[in-house]
Amino acid sequence: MITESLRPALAIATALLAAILILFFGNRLKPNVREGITLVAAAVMTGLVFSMIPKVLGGGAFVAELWTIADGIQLKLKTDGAGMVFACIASFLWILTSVYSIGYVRGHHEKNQTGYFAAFAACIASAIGIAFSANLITFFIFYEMLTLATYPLVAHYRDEKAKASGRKYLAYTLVSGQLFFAAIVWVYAKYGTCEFAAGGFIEAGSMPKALMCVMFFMMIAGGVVKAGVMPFHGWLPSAMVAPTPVSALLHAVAVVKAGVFCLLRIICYVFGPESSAWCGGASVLSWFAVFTILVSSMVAMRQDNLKARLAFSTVGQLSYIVLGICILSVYSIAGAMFHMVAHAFLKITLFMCAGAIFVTTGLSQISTMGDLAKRMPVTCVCFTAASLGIAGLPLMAGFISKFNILQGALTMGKPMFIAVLMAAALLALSYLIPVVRIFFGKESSSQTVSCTAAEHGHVHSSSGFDAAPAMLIPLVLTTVVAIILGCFPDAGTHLYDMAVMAAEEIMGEGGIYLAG
Amino acid sequence: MNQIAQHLPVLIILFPLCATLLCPLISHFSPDWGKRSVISALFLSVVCAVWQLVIVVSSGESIHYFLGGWKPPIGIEFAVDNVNAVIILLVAVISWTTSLFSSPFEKKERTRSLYSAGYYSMLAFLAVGLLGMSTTGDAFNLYVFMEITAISGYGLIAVGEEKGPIASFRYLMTGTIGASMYLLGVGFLYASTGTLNMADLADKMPQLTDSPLIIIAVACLIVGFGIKMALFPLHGWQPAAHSYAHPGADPMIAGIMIKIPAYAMLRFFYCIFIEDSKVMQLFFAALGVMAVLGVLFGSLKALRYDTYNKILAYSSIGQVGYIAMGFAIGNVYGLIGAVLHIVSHAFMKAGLFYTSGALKYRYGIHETTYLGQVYRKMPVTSLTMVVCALSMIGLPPFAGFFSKWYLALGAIQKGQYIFVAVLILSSLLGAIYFFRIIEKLFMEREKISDEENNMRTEKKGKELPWQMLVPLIVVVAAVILIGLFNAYIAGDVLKPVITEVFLK
Repeated sequence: MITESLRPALAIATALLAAILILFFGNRLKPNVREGITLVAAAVMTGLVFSMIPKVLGGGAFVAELWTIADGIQLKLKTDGAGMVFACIASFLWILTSVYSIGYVRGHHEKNQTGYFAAFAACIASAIGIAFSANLITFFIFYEMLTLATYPLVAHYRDEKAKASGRKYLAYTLVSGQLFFAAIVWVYAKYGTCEFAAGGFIEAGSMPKALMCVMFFMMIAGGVVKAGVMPFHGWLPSAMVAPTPVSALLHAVAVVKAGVFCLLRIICYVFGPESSAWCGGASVLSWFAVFTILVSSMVAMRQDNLKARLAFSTVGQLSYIVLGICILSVYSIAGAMFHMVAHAFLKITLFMCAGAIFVTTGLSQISTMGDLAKRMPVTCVCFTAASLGIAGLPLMAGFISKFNILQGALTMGKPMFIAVLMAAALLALSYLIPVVRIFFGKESSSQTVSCTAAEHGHVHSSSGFDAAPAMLIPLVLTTVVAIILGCFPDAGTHLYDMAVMAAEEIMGEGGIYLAG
Repeated sequence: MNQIAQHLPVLIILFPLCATLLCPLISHFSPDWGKRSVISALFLSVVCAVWQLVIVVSSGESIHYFLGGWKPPIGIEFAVDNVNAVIILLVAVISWTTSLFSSPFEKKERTRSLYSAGYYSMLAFLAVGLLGMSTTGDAFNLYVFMEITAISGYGLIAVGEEKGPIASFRYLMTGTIGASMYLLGVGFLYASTGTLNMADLADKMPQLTDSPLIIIAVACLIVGFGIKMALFPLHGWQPAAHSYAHPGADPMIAGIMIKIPAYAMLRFFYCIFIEDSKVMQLFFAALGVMAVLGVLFGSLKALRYDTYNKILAYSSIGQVGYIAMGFAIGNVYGLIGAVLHIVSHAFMKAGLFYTSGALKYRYGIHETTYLGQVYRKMPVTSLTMVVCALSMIGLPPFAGFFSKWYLALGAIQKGQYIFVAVLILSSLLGAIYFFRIIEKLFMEREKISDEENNMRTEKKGKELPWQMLVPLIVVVAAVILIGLFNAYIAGDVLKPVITEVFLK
């Protein structure tokens, strides 16, 4: 059921073409036309990606072997279940973040908008490329492209602070990328292939345990850094200097999800569950994830800057996914994949809310946001809903995924992980609910809000209802989608089905792999 | 048609040689036509080189051309196979673009006809030397072309900036030692075999292998080639020469003048000596050590400078180390990586020196501290800079990444993990100094004031004259296309010859 088709390549090409058009002609076009390119490309790409869903659900795949990229290796794209899940969220959220970005950058009068939209499109192109890559080389090419495309976004403001975070970002990602590169060469030289295969192609026992463990950690270096697993998360909070839609993109859609997806590919499609468990890499990584979940939640509680608090929340939630992958059961892997979806929608909602608040009122510190609900009721309600979703409340998307990960831990008999997962849900509540309480509380009068707003020159309409529509509509939409996915995980695009399908493919017939 | 095709190897060299001789004469009457004669001669070389590459690759057989009809071992032989057909095309393309690139430079010179005559003759002569070195199959003829390269190189460095003559003198001193060492080595080989033809040498070598004379010859040859290719620790002349050479000719000097000796070294050692002989083990060990140290030294040293040209020059020392590393690895992928890196680094480094020349031409600057916001005024130059820099770091999908991939693959297959570690470390160091430049280019405040900008009003509003834009675009296209389609070069063109000829 494998069809040769250029469709996956076309999806990537659409975004890449948009990036190139915007970069070269953006300054000569009117802003509306320029943003028109982004939106059209986003819509076309989403259409292309979604059109491939039925085939993938039926167990088939589209394969595009483009050309030989290095002696003996094809530049090859393939749409499997896991890749489709990632591609669907990345492409769909591109539309929403584009609309939101337009509202944000115009409301905030950003400079260098052309470069901004071009880099944005390049980021999405790389993310889709990562999702569809069929072998390690193709994957690495898109992975490094993502690093490069994100750098201008992180350093968008071009001041000292932005430069410093840009450098930090490059330092983390390039160093880890080079280790990843060396490991890819090693794997290719040793096994003669670098094609992803569900269940992995590296056999347990094919090399000494310690050596394989080294190989495992070199392989996951790239993923671990982009996924922000502590202690390799340093770049993520400092990348917060970037404009909010960029943070939303970094945190919810492209970069960190690419990191997690990289881990999924390496652990489940290169090493496979058996070898990952055999060399001990998976269990070491799972303890890193546990550490990250706990510590990041505690750090998040202490942040007064809303974006910073959300950043640490991201760090924690991503490790949830990592933990889900490392538990290596069919439930937890499906849960982890679905948590990619759930977290994408929930976290992007939170970031969009933070950005809308910042542009509309000029507030960025949580302690000054008292009584905000009166001024921006819709935004605050969406924020509340998304917060509850992150904590894993039933009927929200976050519940489904966390439940699955828990079930996985249960079947694998890992009581420690169960405890951690429960504690993490409470911790998530404890850092997000206080924000909600401040929004709806009366700790500072509405006068202060308008005063602070007046201090910031960029507030465009201080009397309008809530945020500008271009920002408000996307964030309401993401909230609605998050709720729909919570009630009917298979609604529309069958993301949950695809996640389960991919997990079953990885774990094989038995469904559960028992370590030892 | 067939008549011409037969003579392609010599025609490619003959065109620039004629231009060298005719250019001073024509320039006497019209400097513009003198210049054009060189540019068009080099363009003819490019056309012939493409033709030759097509013939060699499609027929799958190498061309053996006997000058004057004299068969070796008496006559001189030009031998062209897939590998050096690629190298010849590379030399021709970069020579042509460089001749085009340097044409706007001389307008401000007072003694125009003399200057134009001298400069263009030397440029064409440099092309003759480099093309000859990559074509010849005769050890002594190689020496002749090596000296042609060196002599024209001395001239082009000396007409450069203020410190040019000193740099040139330094190169003259060391270069002469290098050439003498090479000659000495060839002398020893001649004394023990009685032939100078490389194929003939290869035939007679097995009986003589491991004799002390041969080992001394090999040591001399390594030093000779090492000096010419600026291999650490024999690189002393290179940073000054590359920094102070004429900004128009610098791309050629930095881009290919140190690569062709590297290619000649590859041809010389792998064709003449057998892989498991004692001399080759010596060669592997010596080059491995020099490569590792050179890569690290070049990259570390480049961190210390703010002058664009100096950074590029030291980075070249590191990159030549990559090539030497490929020779030291000495298996199929190692050699593919080395040859591919000769090609890709030639384009990248030439590209970076084109941007350096463009900055010099437009603003007269060499300091990276003045780069702030230049990208707004010189978008094509900045694009070239970014693409070449990313390729130098070795990021996909540019050419530099794939040569690194083959080198790393070769090193792991041979079990030399230290080379992989060095490659990675050097990439990261490269990322530091190149991203520093990129950051300045895009994020620093503007340093060049408007008066300086308007200094030359006739250039206002235009980034660069078309003669300078064409080379930039050629280089960017080459770096991207070589990257994307490297498998055809590596797998279809280089691999068969490397496995059959170099690693028999």
